[in-house]
Amino acid sequence: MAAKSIWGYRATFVGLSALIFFFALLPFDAGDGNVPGPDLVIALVAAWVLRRPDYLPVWLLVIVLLLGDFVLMRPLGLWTLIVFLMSEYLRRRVDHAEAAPFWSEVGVVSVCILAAFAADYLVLVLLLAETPPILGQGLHAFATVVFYPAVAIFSQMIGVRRLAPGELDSLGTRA
Amino acid sequence: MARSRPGEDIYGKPLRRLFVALTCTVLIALLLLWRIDNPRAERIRAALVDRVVPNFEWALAPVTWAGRLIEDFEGYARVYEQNQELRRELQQMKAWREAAIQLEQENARLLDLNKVRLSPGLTYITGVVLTDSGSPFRRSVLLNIGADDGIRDGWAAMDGLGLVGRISGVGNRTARVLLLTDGNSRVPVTIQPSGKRAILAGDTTSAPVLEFVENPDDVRAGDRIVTSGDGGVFPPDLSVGQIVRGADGRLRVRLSADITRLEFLRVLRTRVAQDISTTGDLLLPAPAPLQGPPIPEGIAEPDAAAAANGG
Repeated sequence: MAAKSIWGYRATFVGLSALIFFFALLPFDAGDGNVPGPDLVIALVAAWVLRRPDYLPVWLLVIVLLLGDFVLMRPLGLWTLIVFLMSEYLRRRVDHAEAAPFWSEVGVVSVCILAAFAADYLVLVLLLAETPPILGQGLHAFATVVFYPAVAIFSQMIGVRRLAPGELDSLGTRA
Repeated sequence: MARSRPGEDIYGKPLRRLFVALTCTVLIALLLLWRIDNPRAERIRAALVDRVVPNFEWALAPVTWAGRLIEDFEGYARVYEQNQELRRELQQMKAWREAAIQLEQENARLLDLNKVRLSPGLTYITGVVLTDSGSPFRRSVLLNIGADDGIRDGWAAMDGLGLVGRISGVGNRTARVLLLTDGNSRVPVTIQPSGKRAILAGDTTSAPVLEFVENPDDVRAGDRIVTSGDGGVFPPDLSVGQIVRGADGRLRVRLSADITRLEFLRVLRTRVAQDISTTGDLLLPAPAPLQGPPIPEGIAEPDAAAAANGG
């Protein structure tokens, strides 16, 4: 039963990510410099990894993020690498974060998200690639941080919760 | 993996670490490929997008339609004022139309008198916008026409009014249009009354910047911008927009194309201009057959046999 629900949630993650990409791709204001919206996929990854790392194995994460890189015209591999490293960092924190209150989790994730965007920008500068405008990028990161609590609460509502200590041992899927 | 196997503690963690390191290496290699051999990486991307996105066409079209409907709904609030405005504009346009027709006739007469031959008219292929770039800092759209329809890289894309961008990345069923507002877009243009040349450079805002203007004092807000055709990037004299002075004091261009609401785009079928590199090429007929000793019989035979069969 446990394995079945794990696969169910993995499929849910893929579905949610596909939905986010789909709505990002809709051609509403193609050429306009509007206020950039949040990057919900990174928020979703952070929320899920902190709650149930076994729902997001490395291979699934990398495939979904790479697809995003390809379809959303981002530099190939860079954003995937950054989000992947961030998820690894958060994964290692899971044990310590067991009893942490919600707002401290939000704080940690906010710092991680800001660091991810800063790293993205820095690598692009180092590679002498074309960089997005720094103000827009900052707003994008800020919007993502603002939307993180909502994403976390939504994840909690659809059943992505931390395991009670007893369940952890019987499942034993965490690395 | 319902329960942990006994060996997992010993082998699981190092194996996992190895896997993570391997993934990182692959991703870094991909990033370097993207940076170093960009055209190849973008071709891979175009091929993948070409496989994925058209499968969602059935969902994209109705959702886009619904979204546009909601956008339009906000416009209905002031439908009366808009109507009045349009009527006034229509009156003015009628006067202009009369003038334009007369000028066109006069122009045609003069061209005929002078025996001028214009370049063959540009033909175009019309495509529907499927998606935009999806990233907040890239300005491009994906069309539902591609290599199968004869689209090639570098052709100009226009909406009904003005230039929108150029084709960059062609799949079999899709083609990506890099908009003029994208940070990577550079287009050579002419400023109309003064004839000055400049480069129109996108910077992800809705009004791209004019760069390399020789005498910025000669240029006024409201001047028309058309493509110059320099470098063979675009056919000359496509309408682009009008100069405005931005809040930061730089010369910017307000595009005549309605770039926020792109629905149908025309891709201009640009012929490769004949390159005049030497003096004789244009006047002489096709090169004569090769001079020299005759080609040995054995090599020429299969061709002759094929020709005989065909005949």
